Amino acid sequence: MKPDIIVRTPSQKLALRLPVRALWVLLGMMIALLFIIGLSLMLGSYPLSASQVLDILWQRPADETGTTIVWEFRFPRVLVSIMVGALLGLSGATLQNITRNPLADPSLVGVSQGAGFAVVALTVLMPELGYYYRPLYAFGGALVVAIIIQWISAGRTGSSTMRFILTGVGVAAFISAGTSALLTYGDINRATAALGWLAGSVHASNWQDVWLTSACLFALLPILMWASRPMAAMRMGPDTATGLGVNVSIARWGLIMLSVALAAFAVAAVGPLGFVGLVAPHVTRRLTHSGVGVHLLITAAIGGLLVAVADLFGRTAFAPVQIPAGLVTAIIGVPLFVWLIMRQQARTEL
Amino acid sequence: MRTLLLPLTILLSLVVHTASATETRIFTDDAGRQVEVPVQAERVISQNDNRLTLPLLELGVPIVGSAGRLAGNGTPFLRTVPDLLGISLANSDIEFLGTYNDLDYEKIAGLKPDLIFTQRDEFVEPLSRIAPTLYIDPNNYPVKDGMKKLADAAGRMDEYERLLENYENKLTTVQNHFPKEQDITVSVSFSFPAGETLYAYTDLGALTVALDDLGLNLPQPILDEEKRSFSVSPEQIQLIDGDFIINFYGNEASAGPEEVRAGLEKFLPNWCAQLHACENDQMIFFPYAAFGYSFSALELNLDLLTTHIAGRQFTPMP
Repeated sequence: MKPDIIVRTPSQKLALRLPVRALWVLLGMMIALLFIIGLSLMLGSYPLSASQVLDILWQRPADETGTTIVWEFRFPRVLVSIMVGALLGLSGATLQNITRNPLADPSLVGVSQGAGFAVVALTVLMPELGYYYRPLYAFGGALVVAIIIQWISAGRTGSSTMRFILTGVGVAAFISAGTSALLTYGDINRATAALGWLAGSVHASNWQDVWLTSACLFALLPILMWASRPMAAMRMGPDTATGLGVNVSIARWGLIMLSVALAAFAVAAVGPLGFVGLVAPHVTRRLTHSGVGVHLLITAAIGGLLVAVADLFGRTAFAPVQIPAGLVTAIIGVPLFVWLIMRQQARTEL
Repeated sequence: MRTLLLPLTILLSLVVHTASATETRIFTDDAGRQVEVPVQAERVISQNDNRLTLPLLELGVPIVGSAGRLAGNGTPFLRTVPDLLGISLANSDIEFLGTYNDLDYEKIAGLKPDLIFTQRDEFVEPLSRIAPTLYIDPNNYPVKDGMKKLADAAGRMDEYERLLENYENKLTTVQNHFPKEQDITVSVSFSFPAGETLYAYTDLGALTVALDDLGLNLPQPILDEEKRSFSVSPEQIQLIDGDFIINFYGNEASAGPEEVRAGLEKFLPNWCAQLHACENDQMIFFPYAAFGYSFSALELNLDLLTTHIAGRQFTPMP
């Protein structure tokens, strides 16, 4: 077992314990992210060599197809993929920590369903509103449904985890049924347009999406890191957390809203991407054990890696046919998840 | 002198050609955006095969790439274009750019287009990063009006006028086969061999325009619907009844008229007995090309409607 690194302030009042293995995993993930960015800039229907990509990045030659492809499509696309994956991974990890349920992910709190319903309803019923406001009403829908679930699950005796999970599952199913009804009975062309968004795709991401997504990520990540201490206490159960001085009901409400905000920004940017919030925290746990803070950082990197790989695969595997990243995350995510569980089971049995 | 004139003429024509290729004008698209487009585009991309590629090709627009569809075995194809114009991905230089919902933007950029047409507003932003992009949704216009709009946008009004004149000449001839005072109702429906859903249409490409031009009416319950199309439940199947009912078949063996009929049997067992048109052998199956969006589709419909309806004995719906 490798020793942990202990970082202390000069006054010795504050100390930070960093597991070496977790730091290596985090470094490995960062290198993997850089590698996938490089690959994403090179591969596609218009293949470019590494030297061509470097030339385009540094020289930015005008009036060249390669410049348009790299700067207008591939670069923003891979950056948005990584950040959206990170947001979803962080959202899932937060939820799994608060609810102490390994199956928790953003769809449990109705984020995906709420955003999906809002987008489908407005696309089918009020197409004159235009698609420009789609991220806005996706975010609104996600937030409204999450608040409804929170409100219903908060009983007189305070909210319980099981009550929250069951309410989430029930409300999410109800909202999904409404979405299906709109898709079935709405105008077929409008329904097709909405379906494209529901598949979850980063194919049209631009620099505006990059700035918006990065602003959300860099605004929420420090808050989440700050909240990692009460989250660590809540991982041990509400009684222990209370004993450690955490106001459980406020912490739970605040952390759930933080998780909702993380996922809602991601869904608003690219549509619902399934399984990332569920799988990324599990992969992190299988790779290394660490405190909540480092766990969140590794989960963010793995979430980003998962979506970036999914998008690269969907964009290149059957080009020019484009497979939305949402479908690929499900295709990659499910077998990976099953393999991890079986591997863990085998180790336990041995 | 002659030897000097020839190169000069070639040089002059090249200069004129270059000037016309770079000459631009402002065109207002369906979203009200004012877009600077070439006066006569030379390398055009289309986002939808049936609604944009077909009419643009008919207007003589040089299409270099088009979205299409995938057959069951994964082969890409352009819906209705080969049937009506004889142009396919295999026998032309048109590049397949993915399906109309998920375009391969990189491939589009690689084709260096000078004008892009899309019928989906949300595609305008990414496509505009490559070339001037016009949002025109032909579904918002009857075929002739939509063709005029597209011809205007692509700088092909002369070709439009020629095609319109041809169609009107043919219509005048065909109208002679249909009595002036008639009250024939024809409904337009669509269902797949899987038999899961049945749609009724108030507006379906060239077919509903041709019906209107020939004075054939849609049944009143369908006309009462304000939408272009609506799904019909098995309990409501009689909504689509009329003197004649038109449904469609595809080119694939698995989507022929027999398979579509079998699909309707799955949709509602003994469905034929519920419909006057079917019971009286007045249900007709047209190829998908009939709902194409072009003058050739309009002319095909004139022929099909004449063949199946004009001058024949039929039992009017009570």
